[in-house]
Amino acid sequence: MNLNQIINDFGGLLLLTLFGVLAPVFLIMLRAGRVRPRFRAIPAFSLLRGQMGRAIESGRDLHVSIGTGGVSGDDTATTLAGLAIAEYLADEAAASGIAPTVTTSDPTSALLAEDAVRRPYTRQGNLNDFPRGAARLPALNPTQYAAATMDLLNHEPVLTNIMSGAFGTEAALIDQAANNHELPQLFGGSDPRALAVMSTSTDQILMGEEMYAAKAYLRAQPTHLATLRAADVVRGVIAVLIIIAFVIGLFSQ
Amino acid sequence: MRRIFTSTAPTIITGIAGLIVLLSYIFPADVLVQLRVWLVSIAVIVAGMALLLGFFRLLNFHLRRVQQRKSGYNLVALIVALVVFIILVVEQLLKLTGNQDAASLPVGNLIFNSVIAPIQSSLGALLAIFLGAAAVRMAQRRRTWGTLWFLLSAIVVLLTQIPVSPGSVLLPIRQFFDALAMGGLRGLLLGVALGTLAVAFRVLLAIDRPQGE
Repeated sequence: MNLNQIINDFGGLLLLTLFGVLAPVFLIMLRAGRVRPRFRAIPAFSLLRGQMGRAIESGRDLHVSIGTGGVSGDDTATTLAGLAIAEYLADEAAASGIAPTVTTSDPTSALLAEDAVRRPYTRQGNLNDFPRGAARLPALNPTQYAAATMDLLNHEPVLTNIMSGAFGTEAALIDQAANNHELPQLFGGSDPRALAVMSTSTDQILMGEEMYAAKAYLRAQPTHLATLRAADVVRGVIAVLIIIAFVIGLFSQ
Repeated sequence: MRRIFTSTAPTIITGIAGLIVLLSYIFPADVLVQLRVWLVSIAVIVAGMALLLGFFRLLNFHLRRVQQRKSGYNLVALIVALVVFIILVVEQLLKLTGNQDAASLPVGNLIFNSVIAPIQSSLGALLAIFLGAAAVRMAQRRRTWGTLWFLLSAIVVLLTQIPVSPGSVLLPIRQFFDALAMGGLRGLLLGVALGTLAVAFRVLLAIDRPQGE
């Protein structure tokens, strides 16, 4: 068995194991105060902080789209990352009885979104104030969903358009409606097509891995910081392996 | 007691189900693969129920809007959704009962081909115009080197889409931009894979609990 075959067969498992070992180690070190987490600043997260307060002051809504992905397929992690942002904003708003308007085109995500927005109200013991229907399922198909979201942005008083989740090129349709009303936008996605489209209209972009770091940046809990640090180290290891493989390939020719 | 149903049980079930599916991919033993298929079947049923709930939720949304007299559009949407739903349910029930005439009923296909597909196609066509508008907007708002590079790449890719002969000068230019894009794309996908790994790890170990309190 040569090196290539070993990497092909067991590479994923080895990296998974490395991640599984590093995350608890970093967690222990963080809790013991041996390491101080330092991560680069991501401006999009700064925009999120206090956003709900501004919405409450202005009497307008925050629209959070968690995309067209579900929680039973390839887009599960992306959708959960989008949900983390929705829950953070709901947490900020729970005391005031206002919740962000969360939309999606997947029924399973809609159920989770409703639960994520309701959870802060349950925690604070004011479930009666929870605005029912905060999580909406306006359509069941990406293009139809984009059309329905355009309608929402055109006809409802929205302060900021936040899109974080699984999107394709249909993001351009939503972007157009948001631009017509000159709404500030934040976009987080993992699809290169959607990222390219959205980079034309906003600087507040969470690109790929940044979106999955939402919980670590917004809540700064040791468990989230530890997994983020572990992912950083594994990425470094992969980068080194790629360089080594490139050099070996170069000299073996 | 409530906490058991809303937090403890979902967390344990998620952890066990996630571990079984993960292990079945790493060690594809028959038992594990069968368990995975069984779990996926359950997930499909749950997703089907969620779809039904989602539909009733949509109806409820329009109904509330009609009650609040916010827009006439909601009444139209409510009626259309209900009528189409009833027609399609009746059609499917007739087909399930083995009715020979019902087997050739074209209602579902007719609605898709005459309404949904044309509307989606027109939206798809609009997409190209919106993308063009977005590029112009970007050039107007942000006059940076990054913007210039972005627009230059877009123009080169558009120009080199036309079929060219193997010796054409356009080919190496296209290959140069393709190589750059591929490097960026792989970097992005690597980040996404690691992010997915971190999220999965947190869900499996019940650090994140998207399914409960």
